[in-house]
Amino acid sequence: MRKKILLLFLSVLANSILSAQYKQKDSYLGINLGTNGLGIQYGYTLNPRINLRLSSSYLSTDYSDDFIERKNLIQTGDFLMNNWNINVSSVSIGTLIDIKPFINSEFVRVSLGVFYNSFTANYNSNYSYSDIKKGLNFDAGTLKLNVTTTPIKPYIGILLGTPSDSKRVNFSIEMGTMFQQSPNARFTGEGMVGPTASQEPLVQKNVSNYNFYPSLSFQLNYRFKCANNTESKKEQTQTQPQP
Amino acid sequence: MKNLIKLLFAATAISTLFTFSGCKKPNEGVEPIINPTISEYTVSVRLLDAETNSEIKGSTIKIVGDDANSVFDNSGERPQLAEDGFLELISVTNAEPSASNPIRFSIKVENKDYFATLTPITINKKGNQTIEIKLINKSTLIDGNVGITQREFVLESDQTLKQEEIISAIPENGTGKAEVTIGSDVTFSDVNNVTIKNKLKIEFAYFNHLDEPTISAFPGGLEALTDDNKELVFKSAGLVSLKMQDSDGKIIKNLSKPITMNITIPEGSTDSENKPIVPGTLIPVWSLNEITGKWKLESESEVKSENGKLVAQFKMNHLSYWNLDFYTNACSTGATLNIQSNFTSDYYTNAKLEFSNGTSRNIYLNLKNGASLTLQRAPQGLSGKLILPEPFNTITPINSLCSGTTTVSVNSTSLQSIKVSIIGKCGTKEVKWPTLSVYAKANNASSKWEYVGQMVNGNFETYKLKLGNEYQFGTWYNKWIQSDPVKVTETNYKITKSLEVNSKACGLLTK
Repeated sequence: MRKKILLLFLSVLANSILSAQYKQKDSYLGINLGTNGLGIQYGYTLNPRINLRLSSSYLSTDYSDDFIERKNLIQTGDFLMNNWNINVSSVSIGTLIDIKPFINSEFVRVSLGVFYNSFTANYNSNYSYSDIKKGLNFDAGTLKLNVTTTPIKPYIGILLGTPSDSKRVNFSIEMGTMFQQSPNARFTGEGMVGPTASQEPLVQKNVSNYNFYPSLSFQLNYRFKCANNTESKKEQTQTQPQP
Repeated sequence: MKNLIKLLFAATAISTLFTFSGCKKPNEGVEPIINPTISEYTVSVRLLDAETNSEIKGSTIKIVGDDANSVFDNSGERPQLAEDGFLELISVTNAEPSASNPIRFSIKVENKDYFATLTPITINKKGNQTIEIKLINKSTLIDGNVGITQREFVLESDQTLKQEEIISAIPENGTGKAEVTIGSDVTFSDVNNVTIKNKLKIEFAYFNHLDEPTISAFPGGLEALTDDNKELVFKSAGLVSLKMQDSDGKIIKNLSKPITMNITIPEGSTDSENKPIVPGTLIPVWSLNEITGKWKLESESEVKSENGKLVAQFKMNHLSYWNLDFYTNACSTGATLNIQSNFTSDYYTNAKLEFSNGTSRNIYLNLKNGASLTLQRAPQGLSGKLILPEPFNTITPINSLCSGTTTVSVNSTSLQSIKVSIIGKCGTKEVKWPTLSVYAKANNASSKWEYVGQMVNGNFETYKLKLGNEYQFGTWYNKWIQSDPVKVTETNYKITKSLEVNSKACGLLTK
């Protein structure tokens, strides 16, 4: 099914590009910054209702999560500490069609497309076991949790602000989501906390409904204005009936 | 068209909302599961009667030495008692032990019917060490190879003996003996230098070092750590134990004046180069510090000939174990023995390492194909041989005990690998076994417990069992736990009658 959608989309895209060769239209280059990281995009105005867009983004970020303290594990007064360090990396390249749904409004567009998105989330947790009474504080092992997704993802989004309007520099906001199969989770452990990895089914269950990969981005675009396109616009203006 | 657009808007909004609000974190609900064996550095200890090889019950345990604070039993308690002759020790430390930074401690075992021992342990890599500590029974004296004398004196008003006393310890077997002379001007004090009054009880023993079971049970062992942390291997020429206490049982440690020890060296004794001891031979004199587990070089004794006997004399200024020992420097980490066999699972056996200087050592060896053993505290500059017992009866030469690898090839077609699963219960609740040492004993009067390997999640596989035979299985977690006799009927055998564990272990193992 997904292959069919992809083929359909690519054929629409190819058709659009081919038809575009017969006319000189606006194109634009932009940068985007959002939940999927930083990226660049290139757009092409096929006709007043449809833009074609090639979009990319890259994200790599680290952050720390829950700090857990467990007491009285082996002896009264001992405790186990951990700190989840999480690295998320995402590389996205997508081809999109931006459709203007309202003829009289340049502001709103609906984006449809498909992304190649390489996404991994690595959770690393180093545990330490402490027993102040005995003067002990030693490494109690590590847990590693790796979440990956299938790379080809259909996309739907809403684009507010039109990159191909009359201004050369313009700003737009896009929010949308990629659709994906349930991610794969791999959970491994070493050392004293090694048996914790037996909870891989729970982790897999936790990520099983990650079927949407939402995004929000802010885009800054620069429009390249073609001469005959300007003339075409002038013509359109001249031929418009006078009120 | 408008409906389609509305639908697309709605789908985007809903999916975004769902994703942000409805999903769990991948690690949400993950609870750390702890292997109660909180260390990967473990030592399985068995206390055996040196003569009968049966487990000794009711011994008290004390861990001494530099790293004693890092040693616990496998349930996290300080080891104090080996009720049934078994004990599982773990070492938990802040730094990972290595050959250059090992964990060193000694296990002190005391039992009223046996001579106390102090066994040195070195941990320098991950894994389990299997240690047999053999003790000498004071009543059977290893078939007469230990001489023991117990005397009691009433002290004078100045806390001295009425007259000079000469006390002898003469084994029934062998030609060696020891004699201590205590002057009439000596006073005796405890570890706090408080002088003892009234009564003085003396227990004096001499051990025949030429008898193999006796030497294997030498209190303090022959793999020594000195007070300046040098590792040595001893070759003994005689060992004495002199214990004194007052009428209240207070142990005497210090003497106001040295006392004189004369040891008659048995015929056939040799030096560190395996040459006969002769008059003029210098033998180092060592004493054992029972608090640190370390040996101190006290003096050297020159062997003299007296009435056709070889006699070494030295002075003692405090009470402990005193040895006449030649020594060889030892390497912390020695040669590696690589096993090449047709065993696909564990087969542990007691093997003997014979050194070229005439001494030997018993080791535990796993004959599973691919297993390896790195010798610890091996004598430098010596070669040796590994002797495997029945049913193998092989001898493998080892060119250097301190370096290189030696392949040990063994094969047996008569043995069968058997998988065993052991279920533990706390009432109706099933326990989660940590990794534990497991022992098996055939159900007949003459059989003894044998170490069969490590049980992981309650499962182990061994060649030590025979189909159709009845066995008891046992392990140690907080205390000794053993099964009733069960008949092993198949190669994938599950013990249906569960092992009941004690309440403390239940609390830890069912978390």
